[in-house]
Parts: sequence; structure tokens; C-alpha cells
Amino acid sequence: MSEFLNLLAAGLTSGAIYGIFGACLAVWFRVCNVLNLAVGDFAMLGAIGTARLVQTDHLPFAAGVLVVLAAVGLIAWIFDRIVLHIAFDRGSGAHGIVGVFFYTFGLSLILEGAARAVFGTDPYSAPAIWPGPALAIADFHVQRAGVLVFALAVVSGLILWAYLRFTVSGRAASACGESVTGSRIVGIDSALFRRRIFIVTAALAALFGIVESPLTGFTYLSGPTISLIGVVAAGFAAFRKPGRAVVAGLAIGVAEAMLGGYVSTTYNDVLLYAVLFGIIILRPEVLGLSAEPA
Amino acid sequence: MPSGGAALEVDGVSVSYGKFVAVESVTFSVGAGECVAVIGPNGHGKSSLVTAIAGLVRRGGTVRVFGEALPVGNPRAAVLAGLVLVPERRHLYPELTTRDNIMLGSYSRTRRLRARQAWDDVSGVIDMFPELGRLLDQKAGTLSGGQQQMVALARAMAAAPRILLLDEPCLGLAEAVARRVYDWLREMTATDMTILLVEENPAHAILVADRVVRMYKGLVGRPEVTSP
Amino acid sequence: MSEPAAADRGTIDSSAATGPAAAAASSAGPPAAPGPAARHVRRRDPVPLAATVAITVLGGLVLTALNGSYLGLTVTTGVAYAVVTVGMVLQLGYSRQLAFSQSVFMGVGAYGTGVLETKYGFSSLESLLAVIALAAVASLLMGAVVTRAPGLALALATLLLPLFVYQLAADSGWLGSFSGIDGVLPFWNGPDYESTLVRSGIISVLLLGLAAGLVLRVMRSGVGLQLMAMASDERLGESIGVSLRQRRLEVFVLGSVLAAVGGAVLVSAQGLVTPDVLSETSEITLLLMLFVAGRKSVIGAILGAIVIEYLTTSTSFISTNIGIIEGIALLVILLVEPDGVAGAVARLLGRRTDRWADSLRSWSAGRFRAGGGGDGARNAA
Repeated sequence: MSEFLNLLAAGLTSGAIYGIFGACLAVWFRVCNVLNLAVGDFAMLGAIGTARLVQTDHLPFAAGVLVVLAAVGLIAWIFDRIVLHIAFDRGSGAHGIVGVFFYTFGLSLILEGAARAVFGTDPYSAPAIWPGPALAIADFHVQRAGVLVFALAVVSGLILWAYLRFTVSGRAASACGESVTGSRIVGIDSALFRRRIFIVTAALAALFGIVESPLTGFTYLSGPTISLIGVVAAGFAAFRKPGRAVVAGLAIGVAEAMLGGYVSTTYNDVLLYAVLFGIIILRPEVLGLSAEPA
Repeated sequence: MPSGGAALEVDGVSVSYGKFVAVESVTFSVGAGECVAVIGPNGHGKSSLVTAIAGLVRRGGTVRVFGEALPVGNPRAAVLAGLVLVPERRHLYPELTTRDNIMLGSYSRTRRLRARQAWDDVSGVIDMFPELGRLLDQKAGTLSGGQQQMVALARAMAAAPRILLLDEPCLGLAEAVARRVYDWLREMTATDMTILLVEENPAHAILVADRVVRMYKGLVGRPEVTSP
Repeated sequence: MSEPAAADRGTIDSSAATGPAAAAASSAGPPAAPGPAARHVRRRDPVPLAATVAITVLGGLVLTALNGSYLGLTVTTGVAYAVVTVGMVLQLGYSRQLAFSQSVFMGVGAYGTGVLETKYGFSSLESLLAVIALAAVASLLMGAVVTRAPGLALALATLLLPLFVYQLAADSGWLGSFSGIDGVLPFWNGPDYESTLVRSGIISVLLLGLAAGLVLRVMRSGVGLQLMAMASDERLGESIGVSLRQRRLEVFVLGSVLAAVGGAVLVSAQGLVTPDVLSETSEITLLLMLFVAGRKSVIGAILGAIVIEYLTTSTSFISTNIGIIEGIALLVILLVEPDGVAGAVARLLGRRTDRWADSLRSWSAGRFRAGGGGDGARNAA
């Protein structure tokens, strides 16, 4: 039983990351129909940047976090103002399914390359926000950072869900993704919504990187894989529902942990990816997409 | 009904798409409370004209609403000035409910945080379209064409317009639904609402218009008064 | 309603399509049946064969000139990637089938060749034919399932493929784990290393030429038109009789088989296969080669693969900062010229040929008038 609970705790922790990335992806896709394949790289910058500022440059922790979040927000703003503005507001450039993937794919490559050039290839961990030994209840142990990550994921997911569900602004954001012309007619600035939500979700991803990195460490290469699992989590939420994306992410994390604990620690990721692959191909309706009849 | 003074002044408005000139130096005005119909064949610039007036596409020339010039390419400013467009093909939000589609018409004016409160402020527009009452929780994308057109009209009215621009409001609608739309338009013309109507079918236009402006190849002829 | 006043340009044309001209046309009988001279003659399209020959000859000459140098090896490696990207032109560029499985099938070709040659003693030709067959069967089976998935689902699912296939290869002792398999035979042995490289390189460019010819043949055929129709609007394509499922499957299989051939070429050139060939990094490299050079151009895909392969190994600055450079290049291409460098060149050439064509038309019209065209001039107009 204790093994199951410990695996569950580990799975919920990693799943919280997937889930919140999925939620960030889902919200932004809902606004502008573009997948943010760089969300994991923002988390990486948050983790590595904070570690560097605090541990190497000896900035106070709070200041380091603020500087990093501001920097990530600035990067997101610059990318939107230059690339996405030209692509979507001016109407130049590639569109359709190419546009869905490849603009932020290019950003991901740049961020990875820049991180490697600036920070090198070593793993980094930001200082723990809640330092101390793992919390223990009988044989059940959970890392404090894991509790923070899970709590933050639940809270963030709820906030994003409530924003879209209950507020005028959230409805307007959804409208942007459904009809740009229809939004402009009623005075909704879809470009502004796209930019703001991109910045907020980038900063949120960076914050998660900071909170989670004491558990796993981040290298410059850490971003893409967690981005991809986040995309899958968002996919299980039909790229629209942040709450469901968080739940999907948690389920993926728990499945990963259980496969590792009860099947194979070597092949747990392989099995997980294979299962996800199978689900997407055989049941694309879980992504809100319909398959061709056999 | 016309009540004197120009509500909408279109002065030398031109619209180009690259090298193609869709609208060339169009000038006319619409009096307060007046209904003017712009008629002409397909592809001769009528829709380009109204979308330019509404700020959705860039234009040359000047558009004034009750004497105040509108900035170019700024639909929000147009809405805040009271000029609201019901576009060709409606452009609703298919995954949002009918209620949310209508509520978002008031987006530019509302100070409400919560969607429910914003809806309560504008729910009175449903009285103009009682058939929408039972469809409020249905996704707009699942409505019929006629129902969607009602939603588009209700959305426009939720913006509290002083000037209504309608671009082919009966496009693709069954005759019975088109009649319903024009019955509503006739009711609007009996109020002090100023209306600029784009219509390909002159027979429809003369049902409601006080004056008709013809457009041909991006140019307008001299406006004509319709028979009562 | 009174008649409108005429505007400066254009008045309302009250003569309808049912005017005198239309009446005269309708009173004529049905059109006469075409005579024997007007029967359509189907001509063989020379372009695919010409491309095959040109690529093989040119490539052979270049590699011979490079005489087995390190640059020759780089070019041959680029040729291997070019075989893959040529297939991607058809799959991603032309048909817009967003499947990210090329690196996996490249790995099938590379590992298949390595295993068959080192463990089962197959010759180069035997292993090449075997991996083509293996890739065809595997892609047929996989494609029958995956191509049912709509665009976004297919893209997502195939993004996951390299992740678990790489892990399987890296963890497999039989496949050599992270070290991979070495001792793979070149296509054509020579008396020394340099001549072996040249000879194998010539076989590689021959395979590239055949791949390019095949893809061009498809693109320039009725099937190519159907693929274009599918890519622009699937529903419209289906409504005019395009069999979506069949075409999707064919494109997937052809792209996958060419990727496997590319893998076989790669491993024969390098003598070694490691799990990196089927990693997501490899897939990213292939995508960049395709997009930067021109995703709808066969020539662009070939040159892009060779040039980018050269650049990534040419200077330490580029290889160190390859991520940043690739990302910037991709964004610039997507924003400025989505059809890549080849698209930009084609547009420039097209403008120039338009100007030349206009000049030619003006000149020939002038000649007719100067020659007192009469009936000839009326007929020419």
C-alpha cells in the first residue's frame, strides 16, 4: 500500500507539471489556435535562470524569481510583437496547420540554443521555496516541492477554468479563437488577448519550473519532452478546457509512475508514449477530433 | 424615420486590396433616423465599403459618426461611437452559447467582470427576438442559418448602436426567414435608428429604405429616393 | 425606380447575358464532333526521367571531383538526408500530411541495413531491397491505422513516435544500445577508402535521382492533382472523386519507404548506425532542411539537405549555435517566404519570365502589325 501511495504521490507531482502545461496550452490555443511548443522551454528558463541568479550571482531568492519572470514575460512579449504580429495580424507568412506548430517550434529551438550558450549543459535546480525533509505520514512520503507543485497546479487550473467560465474577459478570449472577424466587430482586440495570455502562460510555466526544479533539475534540453506531454494533456482536453487538461496531465503522470513502479523502470516512458500514441490514433475523438470510418 | 442632420458621413472612402481597387472615392451621407440601402451586383465593393466604414479593413478617406471622425482600422472606436456592423456570414462564435454570443455584443461598453452580470444588462434584446429565448444555452454553431442571423442581429443590438450597418442580412436564408428579418428592420426604421443596408436584391431594399445608393465597380451613382 | 446617372467609369450594363450574341449562339446547332487531327495525344512527361539523369550525372561528377575527401563524405551524408526530404516534399509539402515519422523510418532503414549485413551476412543490394520491403510493409500496416486520424491527431501522435522508438533502440543490446551497430558495408567497395567513398556516393546519388524522379512523376501526374486537391480542401477533393484514404495511405507509404532508403544510404556512407538517427533531433533536422529550402520543391529539398548538412559540420560556431540558427532560419522562412528559398527563387524567376513573356508578346504583336496582318492578325488576336 505504501508503495502505491508513494508512486501515486510521485505521479501526481510530475502529472501536475504536465497538467498545468496542458492547461496553459489549452487556454492559449483556445484564444489563437496556435500550440505553444515552447511552454516547456519557458519552464526551463525559469528554473535555470533562477538557479543561476540566486546560487551564482547571489541575488535574494524573491528578487531572482521576479527578475526571471519579468525576463520570460519580456521574451514572450517580443516574440508576439515580432513574429506572431507579422504572421497573424498582418496576415503574412504560413498559416493553417503549419502555423499551428512551427512558429513556437522555432521559438523553442531558439530558447534551447540560447540556454545552452548562456547556461551550458549542466543540470540546474532552483532553491526550494519550501525547504525541508519530505513530509511523512506512516510509510507515505511526499516531497515538499511536490506538494507545492500539485497545489499550484490545482489552484492555477481552477483560476484558468474560472476565468474562461465566468468572466466577460474569458468569454471574449474564447471568442477570439472562434472568429477573429466576429471578435473585432464587437471591439475585442484579439491580438491583445493573444499577447497577454501568451505572456501570462509563459510566466506561469516559468514559475512551475522554479517550483519543480528542486525535485528533478533542469538542463537546456528539458523543455521539449515536457512540452510534448503537455500538448498531449491539452489534446485530451480538446485543446479548450484547462481544468480537463490538468486532470489529463495528472492521469498521465500517475500512469507514468505506476508503469515505472509495477512494470519496468527502464521502459516506463516507452510504454507511456506508446499508450498515448495508441489512444490518439485509435480514438482521436478524445482530442475532439473525429476519425475517418474504418 | 429621418430626423434631420447627418448621422453618418462617408467622404472620399477608398478601399484597395493590393493593386485591386475595390472601392473608389465614395461619398454619401445617411441622415439621423434614415435608412439607406446600398445596392449593386456581387463583387462591386458593397461589402468592402461597409467593412471599411466599420473599421475592419483599412481605408482612405473619412468616416464621421455624428460629426466625429473615426480612426482608420479601429473597429472598437466605431463600436464605442455607436456604429455596429452585422456582417455578411454573421461571424458568430460557434462553440459559445447563444447567450454568450449576444452578451459579447456589449463587450466594448460593459464594465462587468462576470459574464452573468453582463448578460443581465443586455438580456432585454431577447424581447426583439423571442424565438431565441429557448435557444440561449445552445451552442451557436448548432443553430440554423435563420437562427444564427437572429443571434447576429441581437448581438448587434446588445452593443446599443446608434447606427446599424447590415451587410446582406438575408444572404442564404429561406424566404420566410428573410421576411422575418425585414419585418424586424421595418420596426427599426420606425424608431430613430440610423441604418445603412447593403443588399444585392433591390426588391428587398426598397421594402425598408428611404433612399437607395447604387454601387458599380467600386463607384456610387447619385443617391435616389425610393417611392414610399 | 429611375435610371441611374452614369458614373465617370462604368455604367450599369443593362444588356443582359441573353442579348443578341447569346441568342445567336443558342440558335446554332450543337458543336461538330472533333476530327482525327484534334484527338488528344498523350505525351510522355520527360521531366522526371531528365531529373533522375541530371541528378545522377551531376552528383556523380561532383563526388568524383571531391575524390573521397571529408567534403565528399559530408555531401554523401547530405544526399542520404536528401532522399528523405524528397519524400517529405510529397508528404508534408505537397499533400500537407503532417506526419513526423520520417526519422523513425530512416532508423528502420539504417538499423535494418546494419542488422541484416552485420548479423545475417546480407550484401548491400540484398539489404537495400529488404529494408525497402520491410519499410513498405511496416508503413502499410501503420499507415492503415494512423492515416485515419485527422491532421492534428496524426501530427501529435507521430511526434510521440521518435520518443519511444529512440528509447527502445537505445535500450536494446541487440541493436548495440547507445553505441549502435558498426561495420556496415558500403554500397560499392573500391581498392581504397577514397574510391570506396566515391563509388558508394555514386550509388547514393543514383538512388537520390530515382527518388526524385519518382516523386516528380507522382507530382506531375493525375495523382498529383488529386493530392493538391486533398491538401487544399479535403471535402472538396472527396466531392470530386478523390479517394482520401487511399491517397493518404499511398503518400504515407511512399514517404516512409524513401525515408528508409535514406537511412540505408546514410548507414552505408558512415559505416555505423546509432540511435541518434531516429531521435526527435533527427526529425527536427529533417523538418528544417525541408522548410528552409522549400517544402514544395524537389530540387530545393535536395540542395537544402546537402547545404544544411554541410553548414552544421562546417564551423564550430554554427555547430555550437545550431539551435539558435535553425530557429531563426525557420521563423524567417515561415514569415517571409513560406515556400522556402526555392519558392523565393521560383517567384523571382517567374516575375522575370513574365516580363520576358510580355516582351515577347509585344514584339510578336508588333511584327504582325508591321507585316500587314489582315486576316492573319485577326486570327492571331
